[in-house]
Amino acid sequence: MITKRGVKEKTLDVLYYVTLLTIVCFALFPVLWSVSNSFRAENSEIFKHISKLSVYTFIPEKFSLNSYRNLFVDNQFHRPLLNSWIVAVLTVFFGFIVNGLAGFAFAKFKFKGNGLLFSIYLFSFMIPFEMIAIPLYKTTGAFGILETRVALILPMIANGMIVFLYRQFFQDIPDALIESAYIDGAGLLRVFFQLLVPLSKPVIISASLMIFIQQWDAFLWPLVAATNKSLKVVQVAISEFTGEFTVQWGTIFAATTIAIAIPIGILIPLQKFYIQGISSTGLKE
Amino acid sequence: MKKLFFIVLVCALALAPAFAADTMKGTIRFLTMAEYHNALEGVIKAFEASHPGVTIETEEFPFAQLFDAIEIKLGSRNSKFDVILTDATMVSGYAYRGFIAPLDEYFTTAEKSKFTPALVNSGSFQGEFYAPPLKNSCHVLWYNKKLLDKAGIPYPSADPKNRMTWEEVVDISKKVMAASGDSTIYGLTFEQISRPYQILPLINSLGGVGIGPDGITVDGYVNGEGFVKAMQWYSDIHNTLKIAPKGIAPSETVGQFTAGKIAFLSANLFDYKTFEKTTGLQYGYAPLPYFKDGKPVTPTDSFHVSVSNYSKNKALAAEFVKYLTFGEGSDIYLEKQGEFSARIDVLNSYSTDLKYNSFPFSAFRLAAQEAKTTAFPRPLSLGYREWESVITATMEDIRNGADVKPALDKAVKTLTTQLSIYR
Amino acid sequence: MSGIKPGSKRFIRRGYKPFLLLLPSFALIAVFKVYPIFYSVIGSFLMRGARGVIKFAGLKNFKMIFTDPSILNSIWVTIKFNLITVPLQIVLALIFALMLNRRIRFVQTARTLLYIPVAINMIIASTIWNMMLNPSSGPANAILGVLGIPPQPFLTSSRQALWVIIIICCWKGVSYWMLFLLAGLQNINSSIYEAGRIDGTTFFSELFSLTIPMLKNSLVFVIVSDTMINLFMFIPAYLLTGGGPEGSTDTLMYEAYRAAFKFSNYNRSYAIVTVLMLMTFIVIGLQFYFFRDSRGSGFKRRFLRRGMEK
Repeated sequence: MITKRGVKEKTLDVLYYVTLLTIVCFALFPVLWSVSNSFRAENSEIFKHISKLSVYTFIPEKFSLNSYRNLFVDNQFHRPLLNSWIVAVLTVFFGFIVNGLAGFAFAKFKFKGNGLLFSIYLFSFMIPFEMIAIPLYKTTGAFGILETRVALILPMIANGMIVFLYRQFFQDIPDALIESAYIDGAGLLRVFFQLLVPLSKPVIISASLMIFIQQWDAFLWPLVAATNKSLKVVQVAISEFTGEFTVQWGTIFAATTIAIAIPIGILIPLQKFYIQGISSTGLKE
Repeated sequence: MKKLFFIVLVCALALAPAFAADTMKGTIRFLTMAEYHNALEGVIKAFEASHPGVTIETEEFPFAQLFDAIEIKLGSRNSKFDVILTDATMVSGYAYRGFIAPLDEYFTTAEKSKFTPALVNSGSFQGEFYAPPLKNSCHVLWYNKKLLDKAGIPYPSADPKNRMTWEEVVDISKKVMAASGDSTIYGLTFEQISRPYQILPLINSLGGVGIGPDGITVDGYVNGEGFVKAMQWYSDIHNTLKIAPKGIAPSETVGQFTAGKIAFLSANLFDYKTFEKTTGLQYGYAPLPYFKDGKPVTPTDSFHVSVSNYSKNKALAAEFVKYLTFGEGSDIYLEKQGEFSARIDVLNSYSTDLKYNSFPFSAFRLAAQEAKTTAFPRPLSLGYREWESVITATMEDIRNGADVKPALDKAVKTLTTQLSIYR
Repeated sequence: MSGIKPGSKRFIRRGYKPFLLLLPSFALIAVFKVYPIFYSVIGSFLMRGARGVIKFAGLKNFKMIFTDPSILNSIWVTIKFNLITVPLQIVLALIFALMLNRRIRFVQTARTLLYIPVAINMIIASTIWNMMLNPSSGPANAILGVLGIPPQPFLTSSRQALWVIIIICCWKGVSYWMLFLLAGLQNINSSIYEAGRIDGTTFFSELFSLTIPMLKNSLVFVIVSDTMINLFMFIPAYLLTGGGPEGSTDTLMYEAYRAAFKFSNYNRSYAIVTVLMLMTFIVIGLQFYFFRDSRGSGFKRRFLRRGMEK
């Protein structure tokens, strides 16, 4: 059907693009503003261009790494960065094994309670972390693992949503392949690691991305479970800047810039996988 | 047979010191405040030097997070800490909850008497001694000479006999602000704005108290006459008289004074160290004012040091506590931090030691006098955390313009419920 | 439930072995996700006395929190917050999803750019917005000034503070829910629209009689999940306002956090969380009832079944 692009259609188009642009600007303004401020030479420069908006509101007069120097030299920010990184990577690694095996079990095995058990897994993923944060703190305290890296990683490894992702994916792998591997004498673990995994690159990337970002962005749990200097993670370190150091704006901006650069830097090139992962959990088949 | 027994006994006695000394080795973990890092560094080095085989590790939190951190870590019955920096108001709460250990077996009566009796009392609970004081505290009214000069106001006297009233401070502030020609300059603020430690003396000066003698009842006290009157004044200076700035956090008040934006700052004694380092700041001090119809009151009490009940080496921890509170460590700490001591011998030295003749050290003499005559400690209550949390929020709301009586009544209602668990 | 369809993708042999594969994840979920819920509920009926001795307290904790004005206030704040934020986020997410469900230039870029707030966590989002909304020095008031609007108190005002938090949550959350709705939209067979267009439908009737019903599952998933997350929201209050000014941002979860980690009164926090759990069940129950299928299998089963079989 051919429609003429009349005046009405053209104005709607313009309206559309303008609205889209406004939305994108609103979404990105805080990020851009914060990033640009992190490169300013002095805090006073941030305020100079506030009351009189100009191009300098976004672009530093003189590009400077002062805030970053302050951040790493005076505040030793490399430690929380490293801590977050270690915790995230280890959780991704163990999460892949633990959740992947579970997904395999749910996808390819018929057993009584498959449905019920899987519902429990899904239910567990819908629980907001805040609901269990406090009793979780008490129970991990009883295990005596508080204030260790184990406490930050162990409770976060098993994830119903990730199991769901792996299950969906494995269901699409033909049984015949698995059967023939079995006939050749492969055990379950070999089937998993040598057959399924090489075929599952997309879901492994999605799942790992989701776990990584979840751990990188984690705040409440590290806040109560591991705050000593050697274990403190990025988000907790940043939360300490507010209030105590509200005068050190530049340092805060440098910290937030780095803290968001890493997940965004990973997310943008791999966004296809990340989005596929998230949205497939909400889709009805 | 008897000879053998005798030999064994002698050997045991000879070796016993070695066994006793073994507990004087190991690692002590000290949960403390980031702001004390530099001062404590020296103390720790000295202790480790004189006690070979002992290492002290600190875990530090900024003041704003310290109390939460202590609650979280001790609340989980974590045995990783041995020595805890403990605020005077929290000693009873921690003891009640079983967080800290009594120290009577490590402190002799003579050692306890090294501290002022009032602070030994704060550091005790139900007859047992838990925490010796690390230091004391006192506030004076610091003033900016340049701002007073501009308005032609003579400097207030440093003699308690000529103590100003708050009413006089308000008048002077108005004149100073008018003469300054700068709308960002204010007359008065308080270092720990809207925190009970800082604001309670205003209330106490008018005869009010924070909590009843049972440490649990607030009805009739928080909404009592003195409290209401003082909080109305607090609201007025911010909202109607506008001589005190709003929207400035406790961490920013001293900075405002050193930047020359405040004429009068009610603040801690040790701030003289910051002022001395600020070039171009001409400042002086006067005794903390009082209300015309009331009595002079100064804030007091401060941090104590305690031993965690879950510590695996309480004897060594207690040894460090003693070193830090009245031993050589105390001297190092007080010197480095510029603090006001809780030790009787040091307090006496303020009047005799020539160092305290001249400004700004003369302020210590004033403080010693205030500690004896006008000091009014914060209320002791098992529910101090709950009380402080609600009162701080209420004071800040009043500062921001909330109606005084309704705000205080609401606070009473909330606290009555929350403190009922301690009955 | 599933019967064994022909060509089913199920292993028949070795029925017992999968339990070994499931053991690590099951153990971890049971211990670290499910057990704490029971621990909470049971703990809400206990109390600690002197020297930390635990005793049974019946309903005392609940009686105390329901007579505590700050809890009653926080119940109201939590409800108010959710009643505003959830519909706002979902409607915006739907609008954005509809806008981005087109094949035009830059749509991929726009989508990518809009995903960025998703990867930023709540603490950083709150920190940056806090500085933007600083009444005296932040760009928000500067921009308002350019538009002729007087400077606003934002987080220092008891009337505006909650709205600020709502804005922060929307800024961060809308893109996340948009992802799901966009995926749902892209699953809709476009031939359905063709049929409608031949009959001459308007934009809005198309939206309400075709698109939204087809999106039902995604929408319900998004609404339910968003509700749960927002009922437990407390990080902005923790970081920026401490529940104030005048308790206007004091959410129930923040009260629970304070009870546990500020006052070491864990049993009080368990009681508060139990109340929150009850609220969650009630609200979600209502939502399921409201969105139930008018015919056939019933929505709840469809929602669960979504995950269970192909």
